[in-house]
Order: sequence, then C-alpha cells, then structure tokens
Amino acid sequence: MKDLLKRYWHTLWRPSRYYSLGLLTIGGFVAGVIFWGGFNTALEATNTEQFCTGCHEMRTNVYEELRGTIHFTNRSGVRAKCSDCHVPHNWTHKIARKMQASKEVWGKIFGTINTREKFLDKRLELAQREWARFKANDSLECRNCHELDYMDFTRQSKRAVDAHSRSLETGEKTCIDCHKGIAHRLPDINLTHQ
Amino acid sequence: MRDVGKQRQPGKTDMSEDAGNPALRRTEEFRTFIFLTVVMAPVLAVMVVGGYGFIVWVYQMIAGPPGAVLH
Repeated sequence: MKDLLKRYWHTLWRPSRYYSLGLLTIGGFVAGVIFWGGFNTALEATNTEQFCTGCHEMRTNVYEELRGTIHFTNRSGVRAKCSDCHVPHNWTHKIARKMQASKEVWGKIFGTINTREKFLDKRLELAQREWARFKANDSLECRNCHELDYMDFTRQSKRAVDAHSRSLETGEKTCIDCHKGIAHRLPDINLTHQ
Repeated sequence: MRDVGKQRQPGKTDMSEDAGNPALRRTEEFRTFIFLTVVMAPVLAVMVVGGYGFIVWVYQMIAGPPGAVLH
C-alpha cells in the first residue's frame, strides 16, 4: 500500500511519458469547464423553491404563510420565491449564506424547529436576524424588484406617498422599517416582554 | 523533478523503478490524470470556495451583516 502511494506520488510530479501536454492541458481545461458548469448548476439548485421547501420546517411554516400573501399570488402573476428575498445575489455574500445554511442542516438533524410550537417560539429570533440583515443592506432584496426611482407616486395612496417621500426618499428609513410581516406572519410581539 | 535530467541524457538507461514496464507506467499516468481532474481538483475547489464562505460568515459575525451597496 505504502509502495503504491509512493509510486503514484512519484508519477504525480514527473512529466508524463505517454500522454501529451496537449491532451493533459485540454483535458484539464475541459474538466474545469464541466466542473464549473456543474458547480453553478448545483448552486442554482439550492436556490430553488423545491429545494427550500424540501423539508417540512420550511414547507409547513414559512412557505405556507407566503402562499397567502401578495408576494405569492397576485393579478400580474409575478412572484417572489424564497431565494429572491433570503439569498443575497452578490457572489461572496451568496456563498457565505450557503455556508450559513450548514447551521440549518444542523437544526434539521437535531430537530431544532421540528414542530409548529418550536417554530413559533423561535420565530422572533429568526425574524429579528432577517430584519437586521435587511436593515444593514438597505433592504437590498426588496429593491432588487421595487425601485424607488420608478415608483409612480400618483398611483400610490396618500398615506404611502407621504411615508415614501418623507422617510424613504430622504434615506431616513429603509423598506423593512415599515414593511415587516408582509410575506410571512409577524412574530408574537408579546414574547419580547417575557 | 530530479528524474527529468536523468531521462533526457542520451545513452543512459531510465533509472526509474518502472523502466521495464511501460504498460504499468501508462496506467499509472492515466489514473493519476483522471484522479487529479475528476476527484482532487473539484474537491479542492469546493473546499476553497466553502472555506471562503465560512471565513466571510465568521467575519460577518464580528462585523455584522453586509452593508448596503450604493444605488
């Protein structure tokens, strides 16, 4: 066994005698292209709704709630899926988020929120984490679709125009400051006072 | 690497251990190539990208969630 490893180690650092530089370079390049394509396909697959709702924690809690909101069903048929709001689009932040998902795998294995009650108990913590994220990035995931510059204030209600021109346009507030609990239900605020 | 010089010297016999077995050397070279391109390079790439993600995560735990991009 040791001898075998030694032989292959030796082969690894020695110029090839039977395979041309051309074959090795092109072969390596083609393998790289296939890998890169596969990597991105896999990354995309983890962004699909089917993947997100693959476990019942997501399907029976947050996804079920989303289904009733305007972000899921509306007259124009444009809708948001999980990753539109919850996975950053920037590559570095996306990869970091994917790694953070290892914590979700951990939670799945150990049943951290495997019942509705446990989910409701945890909901405030989960929501606050997501609110803090939206607050810090100036509601970037909202703005990926909803752009202030293209909002027609004449089509908004008076109350919305007032709030948007007073607080949003001045940069004093960001979307999430007012629009909490729009795609999922709000946490039970009473829990904060316990 | 030290073998390169030896092999290129004309008239001298190849001192490597498999000199008498070209078929074995061919197999070894093929397997090494396939292992590198199909197993090792992809695994390393995934580990590097994953490691980078974890580093960014740890950084975010200290510095807070990523800030706004300028619109």
